[in-house]
Amino acid sequence: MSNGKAFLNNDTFDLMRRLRDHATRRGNGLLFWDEITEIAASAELGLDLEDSLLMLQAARFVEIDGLTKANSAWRIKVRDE
Amino acid sequence: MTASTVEYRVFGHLAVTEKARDAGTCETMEADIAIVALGWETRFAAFENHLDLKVGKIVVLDFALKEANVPAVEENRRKLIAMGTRWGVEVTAITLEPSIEYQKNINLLDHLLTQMAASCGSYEGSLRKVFVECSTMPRIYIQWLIAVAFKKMSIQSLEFGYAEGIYGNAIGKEDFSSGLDRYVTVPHLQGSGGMGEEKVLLVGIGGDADVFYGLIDIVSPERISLLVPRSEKNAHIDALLDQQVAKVRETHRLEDGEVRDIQAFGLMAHLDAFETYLDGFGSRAVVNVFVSGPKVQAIAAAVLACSDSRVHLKARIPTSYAHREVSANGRYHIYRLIDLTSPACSLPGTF
Amino acid sequence: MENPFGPNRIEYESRPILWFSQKSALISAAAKPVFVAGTRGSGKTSILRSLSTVHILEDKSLADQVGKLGWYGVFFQLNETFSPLIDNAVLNLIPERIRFDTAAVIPRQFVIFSHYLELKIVERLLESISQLRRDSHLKYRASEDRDVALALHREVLHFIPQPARLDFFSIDELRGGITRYVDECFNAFFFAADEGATGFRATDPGAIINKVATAITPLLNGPSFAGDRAPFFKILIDDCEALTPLQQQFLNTLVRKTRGNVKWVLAYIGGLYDTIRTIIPGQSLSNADRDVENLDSVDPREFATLCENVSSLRLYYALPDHLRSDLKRNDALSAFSLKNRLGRLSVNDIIERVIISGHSEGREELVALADAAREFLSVNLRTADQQQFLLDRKARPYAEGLALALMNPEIKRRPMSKADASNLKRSIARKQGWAFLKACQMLRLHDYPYVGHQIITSLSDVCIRDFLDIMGEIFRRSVPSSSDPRKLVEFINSDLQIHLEQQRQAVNAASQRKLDGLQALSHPYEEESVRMVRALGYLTARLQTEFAEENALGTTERGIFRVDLKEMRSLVNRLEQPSGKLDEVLRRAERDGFIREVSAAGNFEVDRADPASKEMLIRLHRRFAPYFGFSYRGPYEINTIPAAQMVDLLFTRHRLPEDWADSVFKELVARPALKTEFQHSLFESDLE
Repeated sequence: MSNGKAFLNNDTFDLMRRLRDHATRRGNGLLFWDEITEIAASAELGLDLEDSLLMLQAARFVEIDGLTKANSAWRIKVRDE
Repeated sequence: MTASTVEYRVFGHLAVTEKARDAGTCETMEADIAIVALGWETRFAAFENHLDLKVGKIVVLDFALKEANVPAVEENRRKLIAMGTRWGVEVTAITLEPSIEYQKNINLLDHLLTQMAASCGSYEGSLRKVFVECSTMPRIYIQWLIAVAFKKMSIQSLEFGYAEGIYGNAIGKEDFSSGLDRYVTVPHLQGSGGMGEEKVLLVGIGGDADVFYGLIDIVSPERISLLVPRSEKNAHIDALLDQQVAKVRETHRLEDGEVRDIQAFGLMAHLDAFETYLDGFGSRAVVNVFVSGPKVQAIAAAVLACSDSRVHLKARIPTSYAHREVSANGRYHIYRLIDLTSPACSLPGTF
Repeated sequence: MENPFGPNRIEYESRPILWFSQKSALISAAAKPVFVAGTRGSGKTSILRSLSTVHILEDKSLADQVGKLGWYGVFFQLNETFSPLIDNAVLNLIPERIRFDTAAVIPRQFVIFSHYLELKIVERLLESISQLRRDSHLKYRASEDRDVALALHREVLHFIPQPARLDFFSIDELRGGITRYVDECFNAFFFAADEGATGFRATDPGAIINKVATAITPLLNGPSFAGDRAPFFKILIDDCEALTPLQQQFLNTLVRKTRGNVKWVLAYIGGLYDTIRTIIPGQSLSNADRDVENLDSVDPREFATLCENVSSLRLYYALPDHLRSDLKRNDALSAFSLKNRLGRLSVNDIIERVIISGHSEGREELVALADAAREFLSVNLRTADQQQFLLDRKARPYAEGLALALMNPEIKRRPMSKADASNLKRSIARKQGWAFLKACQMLRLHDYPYVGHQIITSLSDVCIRDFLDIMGEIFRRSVPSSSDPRKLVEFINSDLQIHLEQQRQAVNAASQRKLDGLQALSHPYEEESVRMVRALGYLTARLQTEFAEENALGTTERGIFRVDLKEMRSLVNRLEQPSGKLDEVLRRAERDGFIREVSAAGNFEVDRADPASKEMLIRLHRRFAPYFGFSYRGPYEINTIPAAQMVDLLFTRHRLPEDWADSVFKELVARPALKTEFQHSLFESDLE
């Protein structure tokens, strides 16, 4: 956060939209870190993924479990509207 | 309040400190109760040259020695009562089974501690601090006390007193070991259970290395590591230890990193060495620890077992103990263990 | 430089070098449970470890050897804390009033046993799966993770407390719950009687494992896994001899009760695990229910291959990465050519080398015998049959010469038929071991040259650890520890035979060391093993080398000793030794690999724990051969040692082991009944 990289912008919202679509299609919105990197990569979004997710959590769009652990142990829940 | 700072280190959830002193002005030792194990060695009474016990009660453990009527034992008993009178502290003798009947004795001692907590405990009905004179106490009881204190959480802090001894020069390894042995797991310190991915054996050796061979057969470890206590005070013991180490190194093909010399009476030294060894073992290893050297090894091993669930602590129960004389050489060690997870540790006088 | 043949270090940083051998592959594909029997040093632990998925995926060299995984393996070692843990739980959970009613207690004990074991297995299984998911070896989705965890909790693990909020419930969280539950229920029993009892929830034995296996299987997809079919679940448990006899039956029962893709692999020390009984009346385990792999009776050729591969593997991985490109054969399993380095030497080759190299006495006699043999065979055999005797080799036919010298001179006069020729060949082949000893004796050698690939492999007695010890000694003499690692490359690349003298010294040192190790270990009160080894060693050597003319024939292969256990036990009881002491002595000696048990049928289904077992056939481990001077092969023939003599050797100890051996030898040789114990000679005319 200190380097000012994290902010909510179009790309972040784009990611959020894709996550929501994914959740709707699958019928549930629980994801591992690498599932999200796949989604982000397929859209060719040039984000810092970790910062973006933290911002989305701060904005209460997602909820992250296991924040204190490594990325591979995170579980990210897409919140309902 | 003394001006000198006392250095503590943390191992697991325990704060640990130690000091060594020579005979001279006695220092005050405060505790809820003191536990002393009656024995035949004259160093049993050495602590009167070092400490002024300010405790609620002195509990003396009599391992069925009354009937034996051994002069050396009775002399020690007399001395202890005299000490109690001098300090104005009640001395209560608890008659137990012979020390090798450890299971029965431990049950009795468990009840005893509950009673003592009720009558002498200064922290919310539990014992805040217990002083244990362990110079002549069998290792399994030392280790059980630590387990009861810091695993069962019944005692908030323990302080051990230990008098260094002088062994006669004509000692051979026979003087250290006593007969055919049983090996048992110290109650409460059996680790996380009987299934792991590899088995190792960590041994604090004493004058008789043969003492743990039977254990190797029971445990079948893939690796063995040694801690060798060195004191530079007795060349004969050192030579004996060298012999034993050479024998073990050869038969078990130990590599250099698996034999470590440590300061014979240093608690931190032992704990550091143990921890270094533990770091080298996998997270799913079963680490069997067995000690047979100076009592401080027993204390260190038990502290280790309290903080690392890979550790299974083993003890040896001999068929009998030979009565040999060990006199005090004037040096006295005090080892203090405080449970940092207990609110009592923030009370004044704990540290 | 560390000796690459030294004992393995199980350290976090440097994993032991595991090899996925043919045996491992066999076991991994087995559709039945597999029981693996072996002594210490037989490699059984390494085999089981090499099947553990976590181990495989953590160790690149092992992963490369294995390739795609068709199974998921979890590995455990039992230890001596296990039994008291269960017993303690039993004491606390079974009401006092029924404790003496065996029929009522045993099923309850079984429930407690399997409850604990299944939970520990599942705990590890779930933990390893989560770990592999984090490391991206598995690819299931977070939603699947949660669904499976919820399903398992609902179906079979409902007694594990769940958090209030289930949005993030996961396999990992379920696993944490299991750990806490087991701790509270089982470890707590050590503190106080009631503390754990309230939380314990019995489950139907086998149910937990079966349900978990079914639920987890869909998750097992990822880059390392073969995707073609549902993988087996291999539950790999080492040191099963740590269980009490009753617990062993419980485990067998559990093995029977688990279904589907759950496959058990149980390893134990041969003779110390009951491979047959369960607690279900009338239902024992038979060969239809499980395969039994006996590592101690493995085919010698298979063992020889194992030795080659393991030597090469260890040397290869001892080399720093950057030097591997200097290898002639840059492949872990074939970099080092054991056969070339030790030499494919026949007994004749070895004797020839000794004769050429020194000025031994007795050479003339041996050479004369060899020349006579060559002449005899070329005269009396048809050319076609001569081929099998390899007479054109560089070494003279010393073994043939010695063997023929024993034959009845009458036979040697007539021409030999094809059948005679085959018989002769077979007979000589069986005398190789004896010929070796006899030649050494005639040459007055002080230390016999047990060298070359065949002999060294034979001395190891299908015990990979013993083989590694010998190689370790050879390595130490060839590559000093202070050496530049480039010397290691040279050692590996070379195809030249290692100097025989170096091999000889190494083998003798290893043999000596094994005996020294035994002696150093013995507590003054536990001398039995040392005495037994020394006594049997001297006895075997004498039986194999000394003979009166008419007994010449069976001697080479003597060395199996029959002892009557029943009689020995009763004699021992009369001496007021603790009961079971005898069995313990024998068991320990076998467990440590000093003696080998040979059952008459050659199989290992003997349950020595069974007090009804009446007799035992034992021989010494062949690694003692160089020290005592007995044959590197066999033995095949049985002699009975009177029970009283064995008891005297082990317990009363009137004589030194050497003197005991002398006295027993005289007794055995004197008895005319001895002749009937010889196995049927393949060359019948010898007996005329």
